Amino acid sequence: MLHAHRLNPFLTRLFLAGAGVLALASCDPDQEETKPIYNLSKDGSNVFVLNEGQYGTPNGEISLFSKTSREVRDNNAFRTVNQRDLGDVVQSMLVVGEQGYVVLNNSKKVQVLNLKTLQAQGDAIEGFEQPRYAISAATDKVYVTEWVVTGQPGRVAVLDTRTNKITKTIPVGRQPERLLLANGKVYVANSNENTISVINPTTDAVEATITVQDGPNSLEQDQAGAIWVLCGGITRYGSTAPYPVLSSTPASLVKLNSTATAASLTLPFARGGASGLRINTAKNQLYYRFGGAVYRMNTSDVVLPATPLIRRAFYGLDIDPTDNTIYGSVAPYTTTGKFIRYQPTGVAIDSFNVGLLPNGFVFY
Amino acid sequence: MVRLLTYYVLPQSLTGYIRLGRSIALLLGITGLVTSTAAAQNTPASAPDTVQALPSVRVQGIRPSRFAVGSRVTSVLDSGVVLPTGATLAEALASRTALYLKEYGPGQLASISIRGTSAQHTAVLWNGFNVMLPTLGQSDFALLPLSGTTRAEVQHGPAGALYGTGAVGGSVLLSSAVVWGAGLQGTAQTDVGSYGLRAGSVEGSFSNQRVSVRTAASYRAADNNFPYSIRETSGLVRRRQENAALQQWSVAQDVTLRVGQKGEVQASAWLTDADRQIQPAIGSANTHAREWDQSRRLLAGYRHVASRQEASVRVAWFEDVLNYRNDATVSNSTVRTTQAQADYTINFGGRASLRSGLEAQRFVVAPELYRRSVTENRFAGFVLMRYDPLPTLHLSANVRQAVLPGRAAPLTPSLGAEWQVWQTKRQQLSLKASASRSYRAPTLNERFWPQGGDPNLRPERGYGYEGGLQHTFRPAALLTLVSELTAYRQLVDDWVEWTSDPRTTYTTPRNLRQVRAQGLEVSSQAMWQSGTYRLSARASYALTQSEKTKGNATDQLAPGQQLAYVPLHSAALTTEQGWHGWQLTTALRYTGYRYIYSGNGRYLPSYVLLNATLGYKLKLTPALGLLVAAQGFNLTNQAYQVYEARAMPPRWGSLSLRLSWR
Repeated sequence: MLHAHRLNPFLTRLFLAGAGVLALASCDPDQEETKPIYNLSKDGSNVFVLNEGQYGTPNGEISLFSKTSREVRDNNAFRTVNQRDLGDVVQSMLVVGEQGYVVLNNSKKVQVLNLKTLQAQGDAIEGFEQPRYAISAATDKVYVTEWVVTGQPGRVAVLDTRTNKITKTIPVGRQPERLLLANGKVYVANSNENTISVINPTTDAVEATITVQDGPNSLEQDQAGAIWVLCGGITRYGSTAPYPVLSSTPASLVKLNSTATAASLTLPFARGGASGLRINTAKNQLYYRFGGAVYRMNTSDVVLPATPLIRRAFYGLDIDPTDNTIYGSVAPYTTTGKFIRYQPTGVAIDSFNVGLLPNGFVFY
Repeated sequence: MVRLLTYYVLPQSLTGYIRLGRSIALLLGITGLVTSTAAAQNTPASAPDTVQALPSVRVQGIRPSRFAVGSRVTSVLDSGVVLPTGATLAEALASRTALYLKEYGPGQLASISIRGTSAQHTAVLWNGFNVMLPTLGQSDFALLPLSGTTRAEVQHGPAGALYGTGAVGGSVLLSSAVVWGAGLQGTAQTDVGSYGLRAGSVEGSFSNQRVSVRTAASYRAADNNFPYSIRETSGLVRRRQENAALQQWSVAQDVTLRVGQKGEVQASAWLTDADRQIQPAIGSANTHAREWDQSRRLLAGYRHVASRQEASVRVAWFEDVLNYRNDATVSNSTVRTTQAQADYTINFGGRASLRSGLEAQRFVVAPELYRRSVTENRFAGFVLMRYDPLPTLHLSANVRQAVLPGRAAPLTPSLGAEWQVWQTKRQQLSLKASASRSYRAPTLNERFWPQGGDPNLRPERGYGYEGGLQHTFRPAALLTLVSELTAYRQLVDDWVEWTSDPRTTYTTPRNLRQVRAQGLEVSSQAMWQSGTYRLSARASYALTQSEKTKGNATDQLAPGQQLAYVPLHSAALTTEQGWHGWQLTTALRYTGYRYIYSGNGRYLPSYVLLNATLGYKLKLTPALGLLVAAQGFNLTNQAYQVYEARAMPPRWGSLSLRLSWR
């Protein structure tokens, strides 16, 4: 009896401890449970910052930045509205009217969004293999580049935006990256070779393949109608240990001729690694990233600029089409990143914290 | 002697404690090659001489943990609880302690965080040798099956002087205790469970007064094709987990031989192999990732113990293979580690011991990983001192200096004290305190990664102190309550983060920040026995606050924020009940919310997990026993995530049969 008498208070305490533990379960901080329905106007005052997220985990997100109020309104805008994860590696977003096509690289999906409200338009579209970038090729038709398998020929998926179904795929070169719609044709940069595939968006057929330099990754069309292709160069390694560097080619900026059939001007860099060709609103100034800096050159120039505009490496870089403000993102990998805004002259304006691995900006 | 010990000892359960008490004479016979429980460090040095039970005991080594006065130690394996065969240290720690393990799914990568530090801040030692994967500088606890060793202890807090690199947040000490004169013993177990779990193990041991041999092998396979739910626009959708199957095995062999009156030779081998599909995140594509981890660990040692001095030399050789592939990439790595240790100890009567020693490590990385072969040598020298001025007062002072390639390592001293301040017939109170410096050598990846590795990275430096009290209360003859309270604080400076280099496009490790971790650890355990009924219960709680205090200007993380994947609150409540041949154990585990990554308010919600085991032990013959056990996991059927977007199984169960010979 004595034992039982002694035990009871202890058991009571034990029980209380257990109950206390369970009570603790309810002391999580408030997560934004509210479900605001944004009502964004397509007036150029909104910037969607694409936060890639951690590879292998579906924590890619969209940060919503308001240029008017100079604030990030929401760093988890998709989750706030839709109460679920967007996906794994937000690679890029295409705007078609009021719709956004978010390319989710490691989810192998494309999520359609209403950009006014940020509401998901149904579940994400499946059937992509390592999708990268999208472009509006024609009415009701979106092209999405797919690497498929690294090192092997890629393809372009043809998405019917009325049904959100992939109607066909077009074989292109290895590791197709960005696309450009110009002169009624779609130009696809095959980044693991030295070619541009030219697709007729009416027939969805590859009509030509233009040889440029090694590693084309991005393209722009200038005010005169000329297409510029930034080629990053290619470094190849041996397939067996110790994986020696077999070859390494430098980057080049290539200007195609007026019929866009061949290069008319090739400006070589000293080494590889140039990326992210962009153009200003007037389409007479090019921007690109190289060697940990941002450079700007006039489309009338015939030599590469010697001095950088901004001496800083960015993970993503885009130019605001309304006022040429430069948006550069910094991605520390293990913590959330930020973006810095610069005047077109390269003078820093301000910076804002965003999500994990911000890799690009969409102006809306 | 036994009484004194039981006052101090704080094993996981009182069942273990009773067994420990009974077998203390045997335990004290084990060699200094193995690390010890908290008990040992509190035992006066004269204790071995007073043991009467085993007059044949000739060799008395002093275990390293005897110099760890004033630290908190949790024992993990000394409970009688049946875990599924092939269960790993990850499962034992996650279900039975308040420690937080970041698990990427069942049986997937499980890394530990002790006292708010990272996975690289817990040293893992196997029989005194560091077994952390040198490339990553951390251990995957899912690759350490419990059958490999017979003891697992966690020493909380920094202990750089004793355990070297990585002993910043804590140390996990794995060893196999030698029990002399135990004769022939053996067990065989087989298990089946939900989601394709099947497992088996055999263990056999023999010892007389001259030789001790133990062999243990275990195998486990699981499909892990459990259901989970995912939220889509159309609502909650039920899916089945893909690409999460695994199979792993472990073979361990320990041989200890007494040579003459004063010598002892030990040889051990531990081979582990795991072939795992890598569980994709919910919402990520299945890239058919697969990882093959293989470790071979061999060690040999000789110890000579005279009445006033002892000396030992030991060598170890490890080979760690980590081969990973998915649809897009292949990454293979093989590291071979050779280690040597020598130490010499002088005992000044029973009241003081002085040990000095040297260690050397050599790592050789096969060329696949870094596009070239890489070799690194590390050295360390240490002096450890233990002094008991009074039977109730224990002091220790230790120091280690590591010699690392690249940058200088800090001198890491530690001081510890324990004082039994109050003792009555029924109660006893002890105070303890310690202060330590610690360090973490840059990992081989941090130094040699082809694009971004920095050979000049500074070692991380830690400085921490703690204080606490232990209280033992025996309100009745068959009821004992043991409680412990510890408060700690520590700073880790030059904390390394991989970040994008502003000059290149590479990510590179940098000494970015200072992190302060502070908190409380409370545990209380009780054992009650009445006739053939016995109950033991243990409750533990940890408050862990870990935040950046200052850092480099390029560090994006704002100071004052709790670090990612460090729960502020965690608690565990385990009970064991026995009646005749029946046993019932429960493990209730609470894990508080954890921020998912630093710098954003998003977190994983808290969860409570309840596991239970019901078993019945049948005596087939006086020597042969059969245990039948049913186990239930996640009994409340929680949908929870330990790591972001990695599904965990709903309620599941397994059945075990264990045949034991003595």
